Amino acid sequence: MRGAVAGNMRQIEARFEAEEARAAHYLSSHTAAPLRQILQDQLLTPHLLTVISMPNSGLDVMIDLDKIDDLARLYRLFTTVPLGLPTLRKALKDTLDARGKAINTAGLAGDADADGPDDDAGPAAKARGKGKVLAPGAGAQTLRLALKWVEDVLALKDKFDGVWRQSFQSDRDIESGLNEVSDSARFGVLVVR
Amino acid sequence: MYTKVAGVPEIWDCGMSLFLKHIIRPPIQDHLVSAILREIQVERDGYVIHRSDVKGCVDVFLALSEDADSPSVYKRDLEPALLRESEAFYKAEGERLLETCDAPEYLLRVSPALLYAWRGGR
Repeated sequence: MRGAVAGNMRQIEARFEAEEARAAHYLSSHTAAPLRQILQDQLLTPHLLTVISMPNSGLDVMIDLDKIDDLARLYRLFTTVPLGLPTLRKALKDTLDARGKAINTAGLAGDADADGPDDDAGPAAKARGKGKVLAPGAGAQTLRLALKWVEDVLALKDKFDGVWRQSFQSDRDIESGLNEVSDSARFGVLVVR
Repeated sequence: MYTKVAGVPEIWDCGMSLFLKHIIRPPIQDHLVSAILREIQVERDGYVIHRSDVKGCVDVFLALSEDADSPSVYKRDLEPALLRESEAFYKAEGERLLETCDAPEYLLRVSPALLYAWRGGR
């Protein structure tokens, strides 16, 4: 079940290869292009969003489980159709944004438990500020939360960097999409540098 | 050698056109087209076919045309039929793939009992 989308992508890629071979081996080479067009129009374009957002086996799960090969296949197939890359870029931005928010929420929730709500400074500033407050007990707790936040954010960056490099062939378009999210105030400067 | 001067088709062209007119014609042509399409379908379904037999038929269609300027029989008759079939097949295939993707999800959602059984069974 977890691999449903990955399995589909494998089948679709195999279909592309089979039709390519068919045209080359016993049809006319002129027929290869229209056949490829049919495959793109029928198997890929109408289902891009459905496939990528499939719960339990879509993009999110592939990233969670570090399915580098499956993600690479997804990228290969998606980039063959015009709508593919924008769809993938959008979905990646959404999932990175959601993951970032989750880290922040976890940090803030812990923070509130420790010493009540703080001012409106961003988590990065807050984390740095808190590190210098040396009240024993509460201070140590806050420091731990701050460090945890930093670790979580760095781990998230590493994960997406790895996926981007290994699966998405260091695609510039996807990189700019991811940077848009991580450059936003929410993450501070830690994620990008 | 003198055919051009005499304004009659060369013997090769003449032979091809006679072959087209008398051998490759309805209903034989239709049978051939549907046989080729059937073989392709069989192969798409995952079975092994004699590709060289199909290639033979396709090559004949590729070589034949009504006259020198018109498209080959392949381009005129076989390819449109082939693309039509392919489109229908892959349309259904796309939907089928989505369903196999969705089916476990759907079943689990509609049936908590099934979910229970599935988890219990592991």
